[in-house]
Amino acid sequence: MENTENIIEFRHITKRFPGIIACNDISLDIRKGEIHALLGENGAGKSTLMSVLFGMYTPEEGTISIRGQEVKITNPRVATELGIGMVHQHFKLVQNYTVLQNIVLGSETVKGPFLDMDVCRKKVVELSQKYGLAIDPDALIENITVGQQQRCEILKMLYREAEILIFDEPTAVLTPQEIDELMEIMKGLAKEGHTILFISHKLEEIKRVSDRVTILRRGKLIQTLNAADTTTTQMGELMVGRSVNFHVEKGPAHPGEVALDVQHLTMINSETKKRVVNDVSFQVRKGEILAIAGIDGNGQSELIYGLTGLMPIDEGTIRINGEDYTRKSIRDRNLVMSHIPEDRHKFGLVLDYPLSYNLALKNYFKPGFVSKIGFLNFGKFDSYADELINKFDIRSGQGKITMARSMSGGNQQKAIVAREIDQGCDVLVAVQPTRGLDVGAIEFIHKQLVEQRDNGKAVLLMSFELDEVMDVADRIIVMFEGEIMGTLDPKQVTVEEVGLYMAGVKREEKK
Amino acid sequence: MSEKVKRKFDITKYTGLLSSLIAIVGGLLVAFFVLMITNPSKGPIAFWTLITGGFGMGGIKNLGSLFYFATPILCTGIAMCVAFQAGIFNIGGPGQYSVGALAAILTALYVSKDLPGPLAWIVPLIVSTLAGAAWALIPGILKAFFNVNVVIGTIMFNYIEMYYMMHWINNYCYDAMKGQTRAVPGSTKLPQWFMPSITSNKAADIGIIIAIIFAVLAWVLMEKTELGYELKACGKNAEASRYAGIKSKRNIMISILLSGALCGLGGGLTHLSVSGTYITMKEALAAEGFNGIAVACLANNSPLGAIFGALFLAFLTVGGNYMQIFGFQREIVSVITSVIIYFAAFSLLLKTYIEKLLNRQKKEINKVTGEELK
Repeated sequence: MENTENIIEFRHITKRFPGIIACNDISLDIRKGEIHALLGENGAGKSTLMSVLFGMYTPEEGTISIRGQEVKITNPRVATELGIGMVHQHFKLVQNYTVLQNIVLGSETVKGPFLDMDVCRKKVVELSQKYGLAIDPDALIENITVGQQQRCEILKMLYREAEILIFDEPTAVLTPQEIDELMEIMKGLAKEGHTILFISHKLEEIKRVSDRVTILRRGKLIQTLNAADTTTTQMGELMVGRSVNFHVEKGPAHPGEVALDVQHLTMINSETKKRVVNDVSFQVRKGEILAIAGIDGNGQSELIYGLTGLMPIDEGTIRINGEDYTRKSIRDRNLVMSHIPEDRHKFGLVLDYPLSYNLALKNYFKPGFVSKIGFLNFGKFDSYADELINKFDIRSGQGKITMARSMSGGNQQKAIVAREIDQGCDVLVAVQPTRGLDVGAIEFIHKQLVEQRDNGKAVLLMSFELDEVMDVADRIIVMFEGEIMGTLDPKQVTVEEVGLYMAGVKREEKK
Repeated sequence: MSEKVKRKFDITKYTGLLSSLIAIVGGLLVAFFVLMITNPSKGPIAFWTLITGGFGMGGIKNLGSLFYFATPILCTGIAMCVAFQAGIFNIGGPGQYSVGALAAILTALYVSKDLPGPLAWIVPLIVSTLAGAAWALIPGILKAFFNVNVVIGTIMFNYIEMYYMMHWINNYCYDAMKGQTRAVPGSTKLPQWFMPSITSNKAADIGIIIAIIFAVLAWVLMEKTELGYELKACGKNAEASRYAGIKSKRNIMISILLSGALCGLGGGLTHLSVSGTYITMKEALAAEGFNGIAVACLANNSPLGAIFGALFLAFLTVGGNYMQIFGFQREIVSVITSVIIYFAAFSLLLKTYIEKLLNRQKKEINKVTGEELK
């Protein structure tokens, strides 16, 4: 790219959210006609930066210049007028409208009070031919593939004469063939003079398609590189980085017998037909912590849902303590497997129930909590709540009668951890147990997990935080695109190496 | 520290009551406004009659009418409380209520009139309850197993019921002279016990007592039992309930069947009443069914609160009937009660708003106390 004229200039952009700095003093130039990739882990700030550019967030500090002019992008409409278009990760299409109707929606050509669809159609067909975006303009969105829906989104931007195109993780939902096609389309667009900003954490794709790549980590801009001059390994190292570890005090593990045995587990998304979990097998022994590492969206969440019964599985078996649990109900599973869920508000708590009710959520039907004829024993509810509140130091305004909704996030999580650990099940599944918590709470929860391990429980930890995985786990399995890329020993591998597995660059040979 | 917090007056506990009061006051203000523009000279006195429930005019005798009007809407009100708390928006009240009414009438006419003693009225009541539940069964199945929207399912069943009932009335219990259903035999009417003496109303019966007993039972069920804990959990957070291993399909069925049964009971109690209630052949949904929603709104979905909600709306109905004396058309009463019902519906909205407002403050307080603890 000889063209070095800057089309966008970010200067000292800082965007804060309560508790975190999503973008920390970022200055970045984007050249006209280039494909510029933004690389980083979850929460690195790449999506926030793009949302600032598209007018969805206003930065606290810093300025943006487009085509040499400083602009204030206060909402997406302003961005559209400036020729900026964005393809969101989750498409924004009307399902029962045709492709054509979706493309023109909001900027229709009219003749008097009537729509002039012929003019619109001509323009859409021209665009689709020019850029090789093959699509049937009269197909209903609900009947076409995800890849075609994405083309529809791209056409939407082009129809509005967008010159700067933002793609937010465009390949996450696509099949390999569709990814290849998208790469060609992106290159074609760049050749025609469009500037493309491409958010991704897939190193191979970035290397293949982009001209330059900017690496972000924890809200900071780390480096901008020419894609041609770098390797995926180097990018991976920069993306994960080295960070201060909170070291978790723990002795060596003493794995005992197998508690959780998962074999050939496969889950297929009913809409996209994609194998979100593909032939996954692993075992967790009593007295060890097995962590599932991976970047968000590689099937880990679905795997947990399948395991805990919240989602149906298509193939495979789940055994707990030797017994087949593949077809057992959630209630049956709960009796042998505790689950600290990923989303504490959606699954973990009934927010409008008091703390004592929430602490009894998995016990209320057990003897002691309920009489033989179905009356609840509130004395037991209260004493049990007091016991857990003391034991796990759960803090709230009014003790056990506090509504879960009015508690702080850290204490909500402590309540869930308390309830789940106190079940005394042999298997403990902890999903993102420290997400959004402060250092103190993180330390507390890590300590609890190690204590459970030392008490002879089998702990399955799923986390997107690589540091957490490295510190807490005794063994690590890495998931990428629904498959297990390898089983690693955290004492023997470096963070960078795990990062390569996470990005799908490296893979253990299948035995 | 908990002592310190407890001593403070905690307004957040009373948001339900507060929002109901705001709804009532707001509704009455609009009612006054409506009366004033309809007839400025008679407006104030008519309004006074409305808010004194006609007791100034009819005296204690009106207590009987009050109970008579309160009975059906209390039953449908509890029904809605149970359904709403479980997260099921049952709009099928009118259908379930009328099916219960018809079942009671038919059972009384053909089956139970010669049964010994109290069985003569207990049997039709049981049948009406079962009929109400049965009418809720299909929308329940559609929701639980095919995820068909409850509102649509139940509303459609209201209309099916309305037309189908005409066929039954026409063929089995039509009194062509009066253009309404035949009167049920005396033996099948509800007993009166002490009610006439305490209300000074010859036609008063124990309908309201039965309804209040069911309100208390429903409250016990929702607040004190395992089933109630599960139903409420499903209503407040269906996903968390699933996570806890609660069977959501079973609970959807239970809540909608209970709700339908209570509506059916309301129909039974009203149509077995001593004062006599009849179904006329007109294409209209039973208002009692919809008014149950208003009662539940006023009561913030508490079955005990529904007792007061139902009595309040009945109080207005009684007072409203006297307004005809001042030259207001009968319909003005419906207009005013509708206004209040609208406001009652807002009371849920108000509650959410008030809670949001208070929660914001409370969260701050909690954060501070949390800090102090460290």
